[in-house]
Amino acid sequence: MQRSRILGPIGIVWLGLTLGVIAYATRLGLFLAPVDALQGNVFRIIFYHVPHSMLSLLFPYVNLVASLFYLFWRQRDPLKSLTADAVAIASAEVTVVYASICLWTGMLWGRVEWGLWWTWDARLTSMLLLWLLYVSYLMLRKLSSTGQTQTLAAVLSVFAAIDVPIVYMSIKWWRTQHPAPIFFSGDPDAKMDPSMLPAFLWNVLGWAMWGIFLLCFRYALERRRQKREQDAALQAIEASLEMAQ
Amino acid sequence: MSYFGHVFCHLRKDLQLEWRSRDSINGMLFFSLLVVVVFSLAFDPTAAMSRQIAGGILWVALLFASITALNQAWTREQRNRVLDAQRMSPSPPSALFLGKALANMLFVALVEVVLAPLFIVFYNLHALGQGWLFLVVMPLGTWALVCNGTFFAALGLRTRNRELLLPLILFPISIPALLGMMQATTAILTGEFEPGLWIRLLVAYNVAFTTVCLLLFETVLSAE
Amino acid sequence: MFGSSMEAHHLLYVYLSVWLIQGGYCAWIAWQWLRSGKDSRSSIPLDSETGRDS
Repeated sequence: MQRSRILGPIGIVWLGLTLGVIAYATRLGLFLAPVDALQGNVFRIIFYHVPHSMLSLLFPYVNLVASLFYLFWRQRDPLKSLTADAVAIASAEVTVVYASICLWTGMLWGRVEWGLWWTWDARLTSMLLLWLLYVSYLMLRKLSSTGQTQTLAAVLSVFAAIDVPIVYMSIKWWRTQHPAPIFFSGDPDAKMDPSMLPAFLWNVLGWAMWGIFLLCFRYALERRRQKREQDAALQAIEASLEMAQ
Repeated sequence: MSYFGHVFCHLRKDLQLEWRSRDSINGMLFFSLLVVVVFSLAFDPTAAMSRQIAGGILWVALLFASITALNQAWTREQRNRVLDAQRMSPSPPSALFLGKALANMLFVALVEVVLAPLFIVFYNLHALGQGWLFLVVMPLGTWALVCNGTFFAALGLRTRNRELLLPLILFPISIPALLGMMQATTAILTGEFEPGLWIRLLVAYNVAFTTVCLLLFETVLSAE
Repeated sequence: MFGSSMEAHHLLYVYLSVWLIQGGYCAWIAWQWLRSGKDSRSSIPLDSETGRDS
């Protein structure tokens, strides 16, 4: 238990730093960055929207790597494989949270900008499919019987990770062949006005730190649950041994 | 026995078992017919419009029909602890998977062969593009659905709500393939754009996912 | 602050909803954490007896 004595305070310090960075970044985004010539104040949505969409593309890979480690360690070192599984589910949930925020803020932005809640443009559709993939992962974890959950989920995660680039390309081609109004013209972070860059970068940092915090917190929760299950299983075995005597 | 000998053995077993009861095939056929009729009532297409939407409707009908078949693809392995026997047999697990997937492929292909004339009749279809490409698109699309479907049906073997789980995990993964099949079919029917891109997508999808399914089936079979 | 236009409202909704969603998820984890700490020593029924066919 010595580890948790160090990790607890580190966690609190990290959380404090994260909240500080997010507060600073939000302030920059809302007040200090100059008003966009074309869009007025509403463009400030991107300071929250784009960091979330970038990060929601990162956590699936964490999930993939964790799932691969789980499958690798499953037979060789079962205790290590449990830690990999905890990382896998934590990163999947964080992916869904970030993707949900990306979709929702994107819809709000579209509503103001274009008057449309939704349009099947390439980026929105790809993000929706990413969200669907990881929600289906979470459903599998929920519905499968214990003992198998982790392995099956790890397998599905490999499928999902292979699917992500295929989805991205196919939706892009679909929209190239059948053009529709593009919701988000170009790449906001590629053509961003340099004066907006500080606000944007601080937001990316802040939300990345928050994402890491959530990941670690959820991981710790999952480890706790795993230990609880192991204790319960041990109790049951001991009880049955006593009865046998 | 060689690997393909094992595959053929499994394939023959599934075909024979299905032939005796013919549950799956009859169910699938009738279900697809019903879906086609319901969609016709929903959309009431004129000749011009029918070519635009027939591709999508065809694949949706086949998707739902194959779900009904896939849901009980593994049930006969569950009775009498057959699955345990399969695990202990010297045949490689991927051969079991491949045999079953091929059997399912044949069943769905049979449904397609019956369904295609119906489609042509109901929608007064007449391909404006290169009609022979259908012989390429149909098998590729069907394999994409059946391969992943058989695999995920095995994933859901011991879950509660097994029948609910299969579409939940199959549909998101299959969306690129569905897009490819539907676009390719529409391209062939309307002749308005080239299906080549979508056919290549289907091939890439099939290669990628068949490989993954074969490699990971053993993990799923022994997921205790 | 930014005027009471639709744009200002939407901007506010965005920022609020992000905080709500992120905060809500974090709060859920914290709640589960506290719950798991409480009954870590009590006996928990195992579900190893779910009906199995094979």
